[in-house]
Amino acid sequence: MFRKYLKVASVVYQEGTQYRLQYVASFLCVIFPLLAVVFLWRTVFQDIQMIEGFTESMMITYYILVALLTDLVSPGIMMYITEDIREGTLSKYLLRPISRRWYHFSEEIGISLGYSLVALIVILGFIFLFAVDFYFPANLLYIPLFLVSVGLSMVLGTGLTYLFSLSAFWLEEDTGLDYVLEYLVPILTGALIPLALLPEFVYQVASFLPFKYLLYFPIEIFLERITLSEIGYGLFTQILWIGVIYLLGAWVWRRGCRRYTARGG
Amino acid sequence: MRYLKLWVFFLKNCLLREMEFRGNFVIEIGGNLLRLGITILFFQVIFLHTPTIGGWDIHITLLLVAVNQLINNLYNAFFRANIYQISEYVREGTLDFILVKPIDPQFFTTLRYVSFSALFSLVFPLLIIFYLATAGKITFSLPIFSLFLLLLLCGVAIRYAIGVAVMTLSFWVTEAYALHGLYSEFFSLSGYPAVIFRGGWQFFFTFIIPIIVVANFPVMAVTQVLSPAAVLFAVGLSALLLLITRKFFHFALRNYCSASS
Repeated sequence: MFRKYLKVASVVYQEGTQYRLQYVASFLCVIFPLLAVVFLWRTVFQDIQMIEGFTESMMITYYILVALLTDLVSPGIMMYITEDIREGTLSKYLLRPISRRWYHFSEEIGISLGYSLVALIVILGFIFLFAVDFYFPANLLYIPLFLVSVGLSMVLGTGLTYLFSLSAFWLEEDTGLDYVLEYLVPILTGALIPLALLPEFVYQVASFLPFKYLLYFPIEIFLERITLSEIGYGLFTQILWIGVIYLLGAWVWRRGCRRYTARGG
Repeated sequence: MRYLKLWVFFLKNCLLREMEFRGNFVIEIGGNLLRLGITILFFQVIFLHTPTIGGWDIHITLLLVAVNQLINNLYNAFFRANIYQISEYVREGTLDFILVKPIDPQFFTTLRYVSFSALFSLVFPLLIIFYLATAGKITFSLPIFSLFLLLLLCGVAIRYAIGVAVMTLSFWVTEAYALHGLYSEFFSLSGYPAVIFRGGWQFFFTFIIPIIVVANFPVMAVTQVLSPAAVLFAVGLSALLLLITRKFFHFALRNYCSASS
């Protein structure tokens, strides 16, 4: 049952590793923005000891974790889905004995894991090379909790990606949705700047949305900024969001298929 | 003169093309505005918690953000699409059609297309600079303003020269677009205050990959912390890079064997 999806993931992963130069370039594309942000915060922390409970090493660790996790959890638009819908090639998948959704899910995981493996190696190198003082949680219990939360984030992120991609059933090409995702989502996930630093009002808004649970919440666990009961509550909310997003996805998919005309396919 | 006339033709042609896709035009501008807005937000939030970043206050930082965006927009408006396409010209052999034309091939390949959405987006950073100047947050005198313009041009020239040089590598490497991505990534660092780079890094980002020269130098001219030697260096470097790039491009052309036919 699972084997066929595993196969899809591994094929996509192999396709990704084919382009070596691109891989090397993607290493550096992770490192340089991270480097700049680390330098920036080091400069800021020259005059200040703590910002909203963040020490220098916590802040730097925050951005290292963002760089590490972003590819894994960030929602985007799956070109495959939108193209299939617009060009009518979706038909061939509707005929196959493989669930379109799980096909994409495994495809997505294959791509993300490939990139994250790269990111992990690069970032470990980065920590050693630049002697960055990495904040490691004192209470080891926080590590498995962090990992559980990251796992849930990946599932949530994939669900959101799926939902955004299905917008192609209704929207014509180039409506700017990808810009919105590229620029607004990093604010709401905390990738741009820790949510705690934002003005109170924006922080409150972000807390009501699922995006916070993609990055900010797992990292808060790792940095031991929240108590065990808050973590329990947060994990519960994550699962709740996953349920909501996947139910919504299934519903939108059914509505979409009814609209789908196999134009040109 | 002949080239200028030709370029005006390119300009008109591109305007017609872009007006065909008006929706896309608006979205591109919206995207540019969002990008600028988010950079400003990022620094605004930092300045909520600290008065300066290594001595740079919020107004100087805003000026840097605007200048960086200005240079980016200029590069995107006149060069980016062209430079990115060099790899396609080579891969598909369409370069042949350019080579047989009775004009300078570097002129045609790097100046053929103009992006009007990027050109229009110049308004946003200009408005920021205008605001900073009229609200008295920064002061321009005439000599400083001309120095500022000169260094701005140097910034664009440096980006152009390095961009062309990087994409010229596609005569030998098939994945040069990955290198162009890397190039963009490097120059996205030019919007950070130079003070954050210390010691060896300051040297690296001034002399090896001159991102500090691109956007920080014009700002430092306005805050009057730039030495005459630094100005000379910026001008000399731009001229040198343009020259090297030209030589390199022609060297690549001599080694070019067509991919088509």
